[in-house]
Amino acid sequence: MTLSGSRVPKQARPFQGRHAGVATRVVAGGLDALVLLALLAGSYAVWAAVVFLWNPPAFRLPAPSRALVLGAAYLVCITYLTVCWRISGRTYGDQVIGLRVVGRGGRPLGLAAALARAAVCAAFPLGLLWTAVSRENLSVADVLMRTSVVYDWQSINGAAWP
Amino acid sequence: MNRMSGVVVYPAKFGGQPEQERTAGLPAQDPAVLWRFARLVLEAIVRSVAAAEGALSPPPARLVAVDVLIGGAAVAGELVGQFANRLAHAGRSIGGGVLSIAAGERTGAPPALSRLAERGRRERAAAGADLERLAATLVPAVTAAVLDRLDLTALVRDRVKLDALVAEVDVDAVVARVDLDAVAARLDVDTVANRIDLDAIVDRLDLVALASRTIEGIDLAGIIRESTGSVTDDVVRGVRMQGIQADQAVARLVARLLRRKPVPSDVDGAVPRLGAPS
Repeated sequence: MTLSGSRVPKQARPFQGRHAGVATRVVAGGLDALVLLALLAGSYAVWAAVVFLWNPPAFRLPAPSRALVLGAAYLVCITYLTVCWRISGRTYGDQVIGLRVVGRGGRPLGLAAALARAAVCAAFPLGLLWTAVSRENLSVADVLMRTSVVYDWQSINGAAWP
Repeated sequence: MNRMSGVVVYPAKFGGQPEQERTAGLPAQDPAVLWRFARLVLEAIVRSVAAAEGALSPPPARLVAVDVLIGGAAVAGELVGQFANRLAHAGRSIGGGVLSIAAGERTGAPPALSRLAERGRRERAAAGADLERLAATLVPAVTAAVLDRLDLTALVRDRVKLDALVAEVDVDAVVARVDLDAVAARLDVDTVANRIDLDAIVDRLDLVALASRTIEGIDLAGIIRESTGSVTDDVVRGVRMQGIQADQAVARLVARLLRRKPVPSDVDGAVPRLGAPS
Protein backbone atom coordinates (compact mmCIF):
# COMPACT_ATOMS: atom_id res chain seq x y z
CA MET A 1 0.00 0.00 0.00
CA THR A 2 1.41 3.35 -0.94
CA LEU A 3 0.46 6.94 -0.43
CA SER A 4 1.98 8.15 -3.61
CA GLY A 5 1.05 11.67 -4.36
CA SER A 6 -0.28 12.27 -0.86
CA ARG A 7 1.02 14.93 1.42
CA VAL A 8 1.69 14.55 5.11
CA PRO A 9 -1.08 16.18 7.15
CA LYS A 10 -0.12 19.22 9.13
CA GLN A 11 -0.74 17.57 12.50
CA ALA A 12 1.56 14.64 11.60
CA ARG A 13 4.49 16.63 10.27
CA PRO A 14 6.15 17.25 13.66
CA PHE A 15 6.42 13.50 14.23
CA GLN A 16 8.17 12.71 10.97
CA GLY A 17 11.66 11.36 11.59
CA ARG A 18 11.14 10.71 15.30
CA HIS A 19 11.58 7.28 16.87
CA ALA A 20 8.40 5.29 16.70
CA GLY A 21 6.88 3.88 19.87
CA VAL A 22 6.03 0.37 20.79
CA ALA A 23 2.37 0.58 19.77
CA THR A 24 2.94 1.43 16.15
CA ARG A 25 5.80 -1.03 15.88
CA VAL A 26 3.75 -3.85 17.34
CA VAL A 27 0.91 -3.11 14.92
CA ALA A 28 3.36 -3.08 12.02
CA GLY A 29 4.89 -6.31 13.30
CA GLY A 30 1.45 -7.89 13.47
CA LEU A 31 0.77 -6.99 9.86
CA ASP A 32 4.13 -8.45 8.90
CA ALA A 33 3.25 -11.62 10.80
CA LEU A 34 0.11 -11.93 8.73
CA VAL A 35 2.16 -11.49 5.59
CA LEU A 36 4.56 -14.20 6.76
CA LEU A 37 1.66 -16.53 7.49
CA ALA A 38 0.33 -15.90 3.99
CA LEU A 39 3.74 -16.61 2.53
CA LEU A 40 4.05 -19.83 4.51
CA ALA A 41 0.55 -20.91 3.56
CA GLY A 42 1.31 -20.15 -0.06
CA SER A 43 4.52 -22.09 0.11
CA TYR A 44 2.69 -25.03 1.63
CA ALA A 45 0.03 -24.84 -1.10
CA VAL A 46 2.68 -24.82 -3.78
CA TRP A 47 4.38 -27.74 -2.14
CA ALA A 48 1.13 -29.70 -1.99
CA ALA A 49 0.34 -28.89 -5.62
CA VAL A 50 3.72 -30.09 -6.73
CA VAL A 51 3.28 -33.32 -4.79
CA PHE A 52 -0.15 -33.79 -6.31
CA LEU A 53 1.10 -33.24 -9.83
CA TRP A 54 4.03 -35.53 -9.23
CA ASN A 55 1.91 -38.50 -8.28
CA PRO A 56 -1.81 -37.77 -8.13
CA PRO A 57 -3.01 -41.30 -7.13
CA ALA A 58 -0.73 -41.37 -4.13
CA PHE A 59 -1.42 -37.75 -3.18
CA ARG A 60 -1.60 -36.93 0.50
CA LEU A 61 -1.32 -33.58 2.09
CA PRO A 62 2.25 -32.96 3.18
CA ALA A 63 2.74 -33.22 6.92
CA PRO A 64 5.97 -31.39 7.66
CA SER A 65 7.65 -31.81 11.00
CA ARG A 66 7.69 -29.00 13.58
CA ALA A 67 11.37 -28.47 13.02
CA LEU A 68 10.78 -28.13 9.32
CA VAL A 69 7.97 -25.68 9.87
CA LEU A 70 9.97 -23.58 12.29
CA GLY A 71 12.98 -23.71 10.03
CA ALA A 72 10.96 -22.70 7.01
CA ALA A 73 9.24 -19.93 8.95
CA TYR A 74 12.57 -18.64 10.20
CA LEU A 75 14.03 -18.74 6.73
CA VAL A 76 11.03 -17.03 5.12
CA CYS A 77 10.95 -14.40 7.85
CA ILE A 78 14.62 -13.55 7.49
CA THR A 79 14.33 -13.39 3.72
CA TYR A 80 11.24 -11.21 3.82
CA LEU A 81 12.65 -8.73 6.35
CA THR A 82 16.04 -8.55 4.71
CA VAL A 83 14.71 -7.88 1.27
CA CYS A 84 12.23 -5.25 2.48
CA TRP A 85 14.67 -3.37 4.69
CA ARG A 86 17.39 -3.47 2.09
CA ILE A 87 15.22 -2.23 -0.71
CA SER A 88 13.01 0.35 0.94
CA GLY A 89 13.75 0.28 4.63
CA ARG A 90 10.22 -0.78 5.40
CA THR A 91 8.12 -3.92 5.37
CA TYR A 92 4.47 -4.06 4.42
CA GLY A 93 3.45 -3.36 8.01
CA ASP A 94 5.86 -0.43 8.18
CA GLN A 95 4.43 0.89 4.94
CA VAL A 96 0.88 0.83 6.25
CA ILE A 97 1.67 2.37 9.62
CA GLY A 98 4.16 4.83 8.18
CA LEU A 99 7.46 3.60 9.67
CA ARG A 100 10.95 3.17 8.29
CA VAL A 101 14.00 1.30 9.57
CA VAL A 102 17.18 3.36 9.32
CA GLY A 103 20.78 2.93 10.34
CA ARG A 104 23.12 5.40 11.88
CA GLY A 105 22.29 8.99 11.01
CA GLY A 106 19.20 7.88 9.20
CA ARG A 107 21.06 6.09 6.44
CA PRO A 108 19.42 3.11 4.74
CA LEU A 109 20.50 -0.30 5.91
CA GLY A 110 23.03 -2.23 3.95
CA LEU A 111 22.56 -5.86 3.04
CA ALA A 112 24.61 -7.15 5.94
CA ALA A 113 22.94 -4.89 8.46
CA ALA A 114 19.53 -5.78 7.12
CA LEU A 115 20.32 -9.49 7.24
CA ALA A 116 21.75 -9.30 10.75
CA ARG A 117 18.84 -7.27 12.05
CA ALA A 118 16.40 -9.67 10.38
CA ALA A 119 18.16 -12.64 12.01
CA VAL A 120 17.97 -11.01 15.43
CA CYS A 121 14.29 -10.00 15.03
CA ALA A 122 13.36 -13.49 13.81
CA ALA A 123 15.24 -15.20 16.62
CA PHE A 124 14.00 -12.94 19.40
CA PRO A 125 10.78 -11.24 18.33
CA LEU A 126 9.86 -10.34 21.90
CA GLY A 127 12.80 -7.99 21.88
CA LEU A 128 10.41 -5.54 20.17
CA LEU A 129 8.75 -4.99 23.53
CA TRP A 130 11.91 -3.38 24.86
CA THR A 131 10.83 -0.38 22.88
CA ALA A 132 8.28 0.40 25.55
CA VAL A 133 10.93 0.43 28.25
CA SER A 134 13.64 2.16 26.26
CA ARG A 135 13.84 5.91 26.71
CA GLU A 136 14.73 6.24 23.02
CA ASN A 137 12.12 3.78 21.80
CA LEU A 138 14.76 1.24 20.77
CA SER A 139 14.13 -2.48 20.55
CA VAL A 140 16.72 -5.15 21.35
CA ALA A 141 17.54 -5.44 17.66
CA ASP A 142 17.97 -1.68 17.45
CA VAL A 143 20.32 -1.69 20.40
CA LEU A 144 22.36 -4.56 19.03
CA MET A 145 22.46 -3.38 15.43
CA ARG A 146 22.47 0.33 16.22
CA THR A 147 19.42 0.96 14.13
CA SER A 148 16.16 2.72 14.79
CA VAL A 149 12.61 2.88 13.52
CA VAL A 150 11.18 6.30 12.75
CA TYR A 151 7.89 7.77 11.63
CA ASP A 152 8.02 8.27 7.90
CA TRP A 153 4.74 8.87 6.11
CA GLN A 154 6.36 9.78 2.88
CA SER A 155 6.51 7.30 0.07
CA ILE A 156 9.84 6.03 -1.16
CA ASN A 157 9.99 8.66 -3.84
CA GLY A 158 8.34 11.27 -1.70
CA ALA A 159 9.85 14.46 -0.43
CA ALA A 160 11.96 14.64 2.70
CA TRP A 161 10.46 15.38 6.04
CA PRO A 162 9.36 18.94 6.51
CA MET B 1 -92.10 49.10 -69.16
CA ASN B 2 -90.93 52.57 -69.77
CA ARG B 3 -89.41 52.31 -73.18
CA MET B 4 -88.71 56.02 -73.43
CA SER B 5 -86.56 56.22 -70.40
CA GLY B 6 -85.00 52.86 -71.03
CA VAL B 7 -84.90 52.14 -67.28
CA VAL B 8 -86.79 49.02 -66.51
CA VAL B 9 -87.13 47.35 -63.14
CA TYR B 10 -87.91 43.69 -63.53
CA PRO B 11 -88.88 41.31 -60.76
CA ALA B 12 -86.18 38.77 -60.44
CA LYS B 13 -88.60 35.86 -60.26
CA PHE B 14 -89.65 36.48 -63.81
CA GLY B 15 -86.15 36.33 -65.10
CA GLY B 16 -85.99 39.99 -65.97
CA GLN B 17 -89.19 40.01 -68.04
CA PRO B 18 -91.49 43.02 -67.58
CA GLU B 19 -94.95 42.54 -66.11
CA GLN B 20 -96.82 44.21 -68.92
CA GLU B 21 -95.04 42.39 -71.65
CA ARG B 22 -95.46 39.14 -69.84
CA THR B 23 -99.23 39.58 -69.97
CA ALA B 24 -99.21 40.78 -73.54
CA GLY B 25 -99.35 38.50 -76.56
CA LEU B 26 -96.26 37.06 -78.09
CA PRO B 27 -96.61 39.02 -81.34
CA ALA B 28 -96.29 42.25 -79.33
CA GLN B 29 -93.56 40.93 -77.03
CA ASP B 30 -91.13 39.34 -79.44
CA PRO B 31 -89.81 42.48 -81.12
CA ALA B 32 -89.14 44.14 -77.76
CA VAL B 33 -87.42 41.09 -76.40
CA LEU B 34 -85.41 40.75 -79.56
CA TRP B 35 -84.49 44.37 -79.38
CA ARG B 36 -83.41 44.09 -75.79
CA PHE B 37 -81.33 41.10 -76.64
CA ALA B 38 -79.77 42.83 -79.60
CA ARG B 39 -79.17 45.89 -77.47
CA LEU B 40 -77.50 43.77 -74.88
CA VAL B 41 -75.30 42.14 -77.46
CA LEU B 42 -74.39 45.48 -78.96
CA GLU B 43 -73.47 46.88 -75.58
CA ALA B 44 -71.41 43.85 -74.80
CA ILE B 45 -69.65 44.15 -78.13
CA VAL B 46 -68.97 47.82 -77.59
CA ARG B 47 -67.52 47.20 -74.14
CA SER B 48 -65.50 44.26 -75.33
CA VAL B 49 -64.02 46.22 -78.18
CA ALA B 50 -63.30 49.11 -75.88
CA ALA B 51 -61.61 46.86 -73.39
CA ALA B 52 -59.66 45.10 -76.10
CA GLU B 53 -58.32 48.32 -77.46
CA GLY B 54 -57.48 49.55 -74.00
CA ALA B 55 -59.53 52.62 -74.62
CA LEU B 56 -61.02 53.64 -71.34
CA SER B 57 -62.66 56.66 -72.94
CA PRO B 58 -63.45 56.14 -76.60
CA PRO B 59 -63.45 59.11 -78.90
CA PRO B 60 -66.66 61.07 -78.42
CA ALA B 61 -67.42 61.14 -82.14
CA ARG B 62 -67.26 57.45 -82.33
CA LEU B 63 -69.42 57.08 -79.24
CA VAL B 64 -71.96 59.47 -80.64
CA ALA B 65 -71.98 57.54 -83.87
CA VAL B 66 -72.66 54.40 -81.97
CA ASP B 67 -75.40 56.12 -80.04
CA VAL B 68 -76.96 57.34 -83.26
CA LEU B 69 -76.84 53.89 -84.71
CA ILE B 70 -78.35 52.37 -81.62
CA GLY B 71 -80.98 55.06 -81.40
CA GLY B 72 -81.94 54.56 -85.02
CA ALA B 73 -82.07 50.87 -84.51
CA ALA B 74 -84.24 51.35 -81.46
CA VAL B 75 -86.70 53.53 -83.26
CA ALA B 76 -86.75 51.20 -86.22
CA GLY B 77 -87.26 48.25 -83.99
CA GLU B 78 -89.99 50.02 -82.11
CA LEU B 79 -91.73 50.95 -85.30
CA VAL B 80 -91.42 47.44 -86.53
CA GLY B 81 -92.79 46.18 -83.27
CA GLN B 82 -95.70 48.56 -83.32
CA PHE B 83 -96.35 47.75 -86.91
CA ALA B 84 -96.36 44.08 -86.15
CA ASN B 85 -98.55 44.67 -83.16
CA ARG B 86 -101.00 46.54 -85.17
CA LEU B 87 -101.05 43.89 -87.80
CA ALA B 88 -101.79 41.39 -85.11
CA HIS B 89 -104.65 43.42 -83.78
CA ALA B 90 -105.93 44.41 -87.19
CA GLY B 91 -108.24 41.51 -87.47
CA ARG B 92 -109.80 42.18 -84.10
CA SER B 93 -110.23 45.92 -84.35
CA ILE B 94 -110.39 46.92 -88.00
CA GLY B 95 -112.90 49.66 -87.31
CA GLY B 96 -111.06 50.87 -84.35
CA GLY B 97 -109.20 53.13 -86.58
CA VAL B 98 -107.62 55.12 -84.03
CA LEU B 99 -103.96 54.81 -84.58
CA SER B 100 -101.82 56.33 -82.00
CA ILE B 101 -98.80 56.85 -84.03
CA ALA B 102 -96.43 57.53 -81.27
CA ALA B 103 -93.64 56.92 -83.68
CA GLY B 104 -94.49 60.07 -85.40
CA GLU B 105 -93.68 61.95 -82.20
CA ARG B 106 -90.27 60.52 -82.22
CA THR B 107 -89.31 60.63 -85.86
CA GLY B 108 -90.93 63.76 -87.21
CA ALA B 109 -88.68 66.42 -85.82
CA PRO B 110 -85.98 67.84 -88.01
CA PRO B 111 -83.06 67.54 -85.55
CA ALA B 112 -83.51 63.89 -85.94
CA LEU B 113 -79.89 63.00 -85.44
CA SER B 114 -79.67 64.63 -82.04
CA ARG B 115 -82.85 62.98 -80.95
CA LEU B 116 -81.59 59.69 -82.24
CA ALA B 117 -78.36 60.18 -80.36
CA GLU B 118 -80.25 60.98 -77.19
CA ARG B 119 -82.37 57.94 -77.68
CA GLY B 120 -79.30 55.89 -78.35
CA ARG B 121 -77.67 57.07 -75.11
CA ARG B 122 -80.69 56.09 -73.13
CA GLU B 123 -80.80 52.76 -74.84
CA ARG B 124 -77.18 52.22 -74.10
CA ALA B 125 -77.66 53.17 -70.49
CA ALA B 126 -80.51 50.74 -70.26
CA ALA B 127 -78.43 48.09 -71.99
CA GLY B 128 -75.59 48.73 -69.58
CA ALA B 129 -77.91 48.30 -66.64
CA ASP B 130 -79.25 45.13 -68.17
CA LEU B 131 -75.72 43.91 -68.78
CA GLU B 132 -74.70 44.63 -65.21
CA ARG B 133 -77.72 42.76 -63.87
CA LEU B 134 -77.08 39.93 -66.23
CA ALA B 135 -73.45 39.75 -65.18
CA ALA B 136 -74.37 39.96 -61.51
CA THR B 137 -76.70 37.04 -62.00
CA LEU B 138 -74.69 34.96 -64.38
CA VAL B 139 -71.12 35.43 -63.18
CA PRO B 140 -71.59 33.88 -59.73
CA ALA B 141 -73.61 31.03 -61.15
CA VAL B 142 -71.18 30.41 -64.00
CA THR B 143 -68.22 30.72 -61.71
CA ALA B 144 -69.69 28.29 -59.23
CA ALA B 145 -70.52 25.86 -62.00
CA VAL B 146 -67.03 26.12 -63.42
CA LEU B 147 -65.38 25.72 -60.03
CA ASP B 148 -67.56 22.72 -59.30
CA ARG B 149 -66.27 21.05 -62.43
CA LEU B 150 -62.62 21.83 -61.77
CA ASP B 151 -60.22 20.10 -59.39
CA LEU B 152 -58.48 23.22 -58.21
CA THR B 153 -56.09 21.29 -56.01
CA ALA B 154 -54.86 19.19 -58.90
CA LEU B 155 -54.87 22.24 -61.13
CA VAL B 156 -52.69 24.18 -58.75
CA ARG B 157 -50.44 21.18 -58.21
CA ASP B 158 -49.96 20.70 -61.95
CA ARG B 159 -49.92 24.27 -63.14
CA VAL B 160 -48.47 26.32 -60.32
CA LYS B 161 -44.79 26.29 -59.39
CA LEU B 162 -45.26 26.30 -55.65
CA ASP B 163 -41.55 26.12 -54.97
CA ALA B 164 -40.98 29.30 -56.92
CA LEU B 165 -43.79 31.04 -55.07
CA VAL B 166 -42.59 29.89 -51.67
CA ALA B 167 -39.03 30.89 -52.52
CA GLU B 168 -40.17 34.45 -52.97
CA VAL B 169 -41.90 34.54 -49.61
CA ASP B 170 -39.98 36.45 -46.95
CA VAL B 171 -40.44 33.99 -44.14
CA ASP B 172 -38.44 36.11 -41.72
CA ALA B 173 -40.78 39.01 -42.27
CA VAL B 174 -43.78 36.75 -41.75
CA VAL B 175 -42.33 35.34 -38.54
CA ALA B 176 -41.41 38.81 -37.36
CA ARG B 177 -45.04 39.82 -37.61
CA VAL B 178 -46.17 36.87 -35.53
CA ASP B 179 -46.56 37.42 -31.81
CA LEU B 180 -44.95 34.20 -30.68
CA ASP B 181 -45.41 35.07 -27.03
CA ALA B 182 -49.15 35.31 -27.52
CA VAL B 183 -49.12 32.02 -29.42
CA ALA B 184 -47.10 30.33 -26.69
CA ALA B 185 -49.42 31.76 -24.02
CA ARG B 186 -52.36 30.11 -25.74
CA LEU B 187 -50.71 26.71 -25.76
CA ASP B 188 -51.82 24.17 -23.19
CA VAL B 189 -48.49 22.59 -22.43
CA ASP B 190 -50.03 19.89 -20.29
CA THR B 191 -52.26 18.77 -23.13
CA VAL B 192 -49.34 18.73 -25.52
CA ALA B 193 -47.26 16.76 -23.06
CA ASN B 194 -50.06 14.25 -22.58
CA ARG B 195 -50.15 13.65 -26.30
CA ILE B 196 -46.47 12.77 -26.46
CA ASP B 197 -45.79 9.05 -26.71
CA LEU B 198 -42.77 8.83 -24.50
CA ASP B 199 -42.58 5.08 -24.87
CA ALA B 200 -42.18 5.41 -28.61
CA ILE B 201 -39.47 8.00 -28.11
CA VAL B 202 -37.62 5.86 -25.61
CA ASP B 203 -37.90 2.85 -27.92
CA ARG B 204 -36.14 4.83 -30.61
CA LEU B 205 -33.27 5.74 -28.33
CA ASP B 206 -30.14 3.64 -28.09
CA LEU B 207 -29.86 3.92 -24.35
CA VAL B 208 -26.87 1.62 -24.16
CA ALA B 209 -24.86 3.72 -26.59
CA LEU B 210 -26.05 6.88 -24.87
CA ALA B 211 -24.98 5.58 -21.48
CA SER B 212 -21.63 4.50 -22.88
CA ARG B 213 -20.97 7.93 -24.33
CA THR B 214 -22.01 9.54 -21.07
CA ILE B 215 -19.72 7.33 -19.01
CA GLU B 216 -16.86 8.02 -21.40
CA GLY B 217 -17.52 11.72 -21.13
CA ILE B 218 -17.49 11.86 -17.35
CA ASP B 219 -14.64 9.34 -16.89
CA LEU B 220 -16.57 7.36 -14.31
CA ALA B 221 -13.71 4.92 -13.86
CA GLY B 222 -11.37 7.76 -13.02
CA ILE B 223 -13.81 9.22 -10.51
CA ILE B 224 -14.24 5.86 -8.79
CA ARG B 225 -10.49 5.32 -8.75
CA GLU B 226 -9.81 8.73 -7.28
CA SER B 227 -12.60 8.50 -4.73
CA THR B 228 -11.49 5.00 -3.66
CA GLY B 229 -7.90 6.13 -3.35
CA SER B 230 -8.97 9.16 -1.38
CA VAL B 231 -10.98 7.06 1.05
CA THR B 232 -8.07 4.65 1.47
CA ASP B 233 -5.67 7.50 2.13
CA ASP B 234 -7.99 8.95 4.74
CA VAL B 235 -8.25 5.59 6.51
CA VAL B 236 -4.50 5.09 6.50
CA ARG B 237 -3.88 8.59 7.81
CA GLY B 238 -6.35 7.97 10.61
CA VAL B 239 -4.67 4.69 11.58
CA ARG B 240 -1.26 6.32 11.57
CA MET B 241 -2.35 9.25 13.72
CA GLN B 242 -3.99 6.90 16.19
CA GLY B 243 -0.75 4.86 16.27
CA ILE B 244 1.27 7.95 17.15
CA GLN B 245 -1.18 8.86 19.91
CA ALA B 246 -1.01 5.28 21.19
CA ASP B 247 2.80 5.48 21.28
CA GLN B 248 2.61 8.63 23.38
CA ALA B 249 0.07 7.09 25.71
CA VAL B 250 2.24 3.99 26.24
CA ALA B 251 5.31 6.14 26.82
CA ARG B 252 3.51 8.15 29.51
CA LEU B 253 2.21 4.98 31.14
CA VAL B 254 5.65 3.38 31.23
CA ALA B 255 7.19 6.56 32.59
CA ARG B 256 4.63 6.63 35.37
CA LEU B 257 5.23 2.95 36.19
CA LEU B 258 8.98 3.29 36.19
CA ARG B 259 8.77 6.58 38.06
CA ARG B 260 10.57 8.37 35.35
CA LYS B 261 10.38 11.97 34.53
CA PRO B 262 6.92 12.49 33.05
CA VAL B 263 6.93 12.43 29.31
CA PRO B 264 5.81 15.76 27.89
CA SER B 265 2.65 15.65 25.92
CA ASP B 266 4.07 17.90 23.23
CA VAL B 267 5.83 16.48 20.28
CA ASP B 268 9.30 17.78 20.95
CA GLY B 269 9.68 15.91 24.20
CA ALA B 270 7.84 12.77 23.32
CA VAL B 271 10.36 10.86 21.26
CA PRO B 272 13.84 11.69 20.10
CA ARG B 273 14.31 12.97 16.61
CA LEU B 274 16.17 10.96 14.03
CA GLY B 275 19.90 11.20 14.49
CA ALA B 276 19.61 12.32 18.09
CA PRO B 277 22.06 10.68 20.45
CA SER B 278 20.55 7.51 21.76
